Amino acid sequence: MKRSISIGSLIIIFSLLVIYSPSTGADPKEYKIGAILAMTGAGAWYGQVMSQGFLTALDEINAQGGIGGIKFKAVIEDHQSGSGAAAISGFNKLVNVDKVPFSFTSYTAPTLSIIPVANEKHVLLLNGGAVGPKLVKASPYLFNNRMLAVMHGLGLAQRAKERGFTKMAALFWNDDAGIGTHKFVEPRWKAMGGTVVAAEAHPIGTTDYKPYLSKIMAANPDFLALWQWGKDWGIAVKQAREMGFTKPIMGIEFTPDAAKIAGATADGYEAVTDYFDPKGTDSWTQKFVASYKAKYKNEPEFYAANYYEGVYILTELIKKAKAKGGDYWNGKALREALIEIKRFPSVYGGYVEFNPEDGTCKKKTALFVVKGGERIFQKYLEIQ
Amino acid sequence: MDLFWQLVINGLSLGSIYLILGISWGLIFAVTRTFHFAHGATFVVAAYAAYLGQQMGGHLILAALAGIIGAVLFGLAIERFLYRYLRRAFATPLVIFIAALGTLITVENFIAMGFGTDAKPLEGFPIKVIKIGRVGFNNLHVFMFVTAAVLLIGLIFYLRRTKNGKALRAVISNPEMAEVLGIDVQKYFLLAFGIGSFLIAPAAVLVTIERGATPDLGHWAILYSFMPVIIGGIGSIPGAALAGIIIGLAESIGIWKISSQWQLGIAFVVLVIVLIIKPTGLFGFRVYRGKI
Amino acid sequence: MDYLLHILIMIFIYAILGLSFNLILGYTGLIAMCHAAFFAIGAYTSALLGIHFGTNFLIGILAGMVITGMVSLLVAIPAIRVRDEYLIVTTLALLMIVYTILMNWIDLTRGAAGLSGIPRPSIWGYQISTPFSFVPLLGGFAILCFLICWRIVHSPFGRVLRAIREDEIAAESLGKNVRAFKIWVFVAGGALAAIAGSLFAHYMTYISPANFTINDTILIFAIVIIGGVANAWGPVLGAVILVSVMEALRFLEISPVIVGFTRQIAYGLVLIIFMCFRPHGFLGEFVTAIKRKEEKKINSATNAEKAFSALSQRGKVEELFQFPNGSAKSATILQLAGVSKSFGGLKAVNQCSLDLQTGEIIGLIGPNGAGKTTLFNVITGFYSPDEGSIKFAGKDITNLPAHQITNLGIARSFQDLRLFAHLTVLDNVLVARPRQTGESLVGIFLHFQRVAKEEKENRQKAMAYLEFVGLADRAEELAVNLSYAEQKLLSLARLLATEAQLILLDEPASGLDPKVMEDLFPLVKELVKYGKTICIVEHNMEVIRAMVDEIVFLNAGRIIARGSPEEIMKSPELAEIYFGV
Repeated sequence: MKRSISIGSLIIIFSLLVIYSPSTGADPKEYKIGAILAMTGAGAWYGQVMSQGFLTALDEINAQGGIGGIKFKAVIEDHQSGSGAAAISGFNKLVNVDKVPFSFTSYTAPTLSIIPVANEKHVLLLNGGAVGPKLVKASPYLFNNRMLAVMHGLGLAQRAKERGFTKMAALFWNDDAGIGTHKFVEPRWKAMGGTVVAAEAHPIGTTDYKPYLSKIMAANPDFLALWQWGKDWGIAVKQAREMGFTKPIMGIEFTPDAAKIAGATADGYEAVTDYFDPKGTDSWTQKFVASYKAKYKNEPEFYAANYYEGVYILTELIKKAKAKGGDYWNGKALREALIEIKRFPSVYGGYVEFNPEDGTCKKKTALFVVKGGERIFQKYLEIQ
Repeated sequence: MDLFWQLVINGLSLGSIYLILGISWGLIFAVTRTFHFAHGATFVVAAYAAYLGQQMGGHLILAALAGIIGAVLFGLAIERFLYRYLRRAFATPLVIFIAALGTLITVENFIAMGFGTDAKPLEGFPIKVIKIGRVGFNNLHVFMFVTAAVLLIGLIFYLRRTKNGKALRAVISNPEMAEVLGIDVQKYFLLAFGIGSFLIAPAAVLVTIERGATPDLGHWAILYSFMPVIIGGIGSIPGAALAGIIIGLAESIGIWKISSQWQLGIAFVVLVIVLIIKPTGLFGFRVYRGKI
Repeated sequence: MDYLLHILIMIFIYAILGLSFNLILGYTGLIAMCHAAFFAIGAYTSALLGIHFGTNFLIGILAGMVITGMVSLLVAIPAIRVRDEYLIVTTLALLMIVYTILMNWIDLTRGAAGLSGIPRPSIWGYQISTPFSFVPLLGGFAILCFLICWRIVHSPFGRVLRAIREDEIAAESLGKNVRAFKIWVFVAGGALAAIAGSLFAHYMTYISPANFTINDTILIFAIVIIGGVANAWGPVLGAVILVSVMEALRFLEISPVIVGFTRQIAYGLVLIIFMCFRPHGFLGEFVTAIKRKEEKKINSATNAEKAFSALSQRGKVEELFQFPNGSAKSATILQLAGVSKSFGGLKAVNQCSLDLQTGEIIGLIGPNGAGKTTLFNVITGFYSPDEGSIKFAGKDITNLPAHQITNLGIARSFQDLRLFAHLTVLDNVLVARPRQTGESLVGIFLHFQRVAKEEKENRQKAMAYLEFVGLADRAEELAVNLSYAEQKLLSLARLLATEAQLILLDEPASGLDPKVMEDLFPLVKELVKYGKTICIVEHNMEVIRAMVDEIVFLNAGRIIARGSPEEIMKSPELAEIYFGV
């Protein structure tokens, strides 16, 4: 009897010790993560919605005590809407002072500029906003949970073919993403039997499209394709209509802000984008929308969604890496976990699947049409 | 050829805005000789004051009025509290320039902090598309042109026919002599700032209607405020006006045969060429400082 | 740790930018808005060479300097013809043009996407890739650039730059080719900025046009302005302050949206506040201790006395007043033939013909607006005559630029003096000294000994000139602090220091009380003993009577009379014109 009690108590004490033993050093005090976003400058809107996205997730998780009792903390740095130097400075601080093993990133140029440091110091980067082709295979530590623009562009081309168009005019960002998308789509469009009658590159964020639209109108296309992001498409659509351009317009971006600017002129605009529908029926989508709206009043769009879901992806990585034991709160371990898991639930509904070879992902893509200022889901697209 | 005419129409509407920017800044500069770099800040203040006016439930007209009032108050304040102080302290042109630059940065970022950097629209203008053959534009563009013409004629009339206008011209010609003749030069400096700020507000409102207001429009506005004046010649209001139209046309037509992405550089190339050929500008009559 | 080293590296880069910009802005007074363009061209040149050809980064730096030098030359040519506002606008336009090219010449620069994969520097096979190894490299270059700027600034070349900043016209009238100096300083500033650009590119390994916008020019401005204009240490301090403060703001625990804009607002406010309360920045031009040490080294009045008396004892007073080419005194020193000059419809100088002989003192009188000062301006090359010819010592100088005419031997003073206000009395005179090897960049970097020797000699001579006019004990005073009479004396000393043979004085007596004039004018008369020719514009009849040999009477642009003072003053017609009596 005495023996069983003593053995039993030993077992209990031992278990208690194991469970409540002080941190072996593998568990950090808090999960500090970084983010390099456009907090100031022309693109400050992106930085705002992106940070709001992941902060919503952080708050949700922290409200439940964090993961295994450890809470998240985010440190946000500003790349001033695309400055490589600012990105490097900010990232340097994140890595050397805050010692983050994981960071969100945005914009093609700043991401490219911090990659050398990320490679060196083994920091896992997750991009939920940038779409430039240069990001493909840019680094073993870079993963994108946003579909690349080229895939959307291809989808748009297929849709245009479906609608019976042959003459395409394209208006796009004068940067890697815009030009890259056009370069990708053009030969494939031609292979489908189409022609490109006008291709106009414009500075990002320009607000006067008259010169480009003039040339586009003069070329008499069947439709206008917009390789633009953010709010630019809204202004382009508005000004095109106000110049008397009546042909159909299609794009690869939809944001509610831009739709507000375009107002009634956006009717009929078709967009091929990541399938995030704030009015969607998926339960996680609805939970996210409610959570976001409660904090920030507006409905989230897919930028916020990507960064929101990014946090949850990270939690999966943490759980997996921790289960392996040892020092898990570092970029290497987190990356290995990502490569192993590959497929994560997406707040869009369904899954996001990463390709470990090049860091790209596959998500649901959909066709939307704008009617009465609202985006109406049409159908899912399978992109060949 | 349709494209050409389309570009001409674009150029005229663009040039109209540049005209307004030019004459508003040109008046201030000719009278006070202050390189009022913060004129760009006046522009954004006008744009966002108008936006705010509309948000608070105002009709477009009232919003425009709000814009004008905001601009005038701001312009007067800068002159009264910043420039006058610096002038009294014998600040060099460089010092005044830097202070104005600092003002522009501060104001733009305050607005960005308060309103965000996405484009804020101004609703309520009934856009009607006008098509002549294959050339398309709308009544807003026509309105821009008309506004510019009205403001220009109004300003010239004011300067030629009214007592205050003549006093301003006296100060433009010779500030020292004007003072000797009993003209309160400081008061007329304020008047010049007031009128100049008043004039730029309609441009801000029109641009906001066409494209939406963003905080960094201040940089754009000041650039296109002094370019027509320098090209047209300091001291010549009609010169600045004409130069504004020329720049607008040059920028638009300039991309007829070359890729549109070079548009931003065209105005600057025109500026440099004009300055090489005729350093005082096309119609300037003020010899730059350094006369012996 | 790495983060701090990164900050240090950025400080080095921005210090170089600030130092190079200070040469143009602080020392020469040129408000050039295009400095970020030089930074950019240096960066892109070095980056492209590294990426496409794998060239060693040192070659890249050199190539960057050369290309940027050429571009800054192109920039300078239109820029130096204009002043103040026009300069701001022209250089701003040039910055925007460079930016547009960087953004749109996609084949070369990849446009907005930028250049990535710029190779890290390697020296003799040793690759520099960690911040720790970058620090000595960048620190070394920063020190090198600092020394170059130091040398430039404390040399006769730098002195002329400051003179140009104070008063271009006066500098030109003392024989300095102002345009050439401006071009040189643009090229030098641009080349140094290119060094910063190359280093930046190889450190970042990725550059895009977003790094080289007008905001970056403004940052460079702020570094110079806040640190201290026209002070060798100023930009260094400015770089330290601005870079560290910008970084420090990252650590504030405020909402990141607010932080970003707050940083920019703070920046704008700092600029305004500094301009209102401390426009010279933390270290103004005259504040550093090192400068004070220099002041103590300068000869005091007693030493000057010794220099002057030493000279005269050796019988070499004539040396003070020698002819520029050492040529013999020719009889007719100046010949004007049918010279006219119109402005618009007004003929300010109308068919003037005049001969001046060596050793004469001529008075040029006439009512206001007669064209006296205009005539001076035409003779000295500030205006080109519409017709007629001007010969000096037999040489045709009709269309020569002003500085060349001064170098040939004609110098003039100005009615409004045009002293270099914020230069010392001694520096004012030193600027006037001709043929200084140290006034060229080549000179100050390749001929150290010669420059030092000339400088020593020029200082002695300058002190002697100051002694001549009685200002030797004020040598270290800023010109702006002198009394009006002292300023006039300084103007004369400065004029004499040019060693000009023909001296044109524009209203030298105005504003002086009789006592001072009693002291001054014997001095002027004495100059004739040394073969000078003097022409004085004056309204004060006492002075004219006492000083001049002959009077030339100018009215409405024409010379209507010439004769001895007694003849002229007796004439009732002339009295009527002059006095309206």
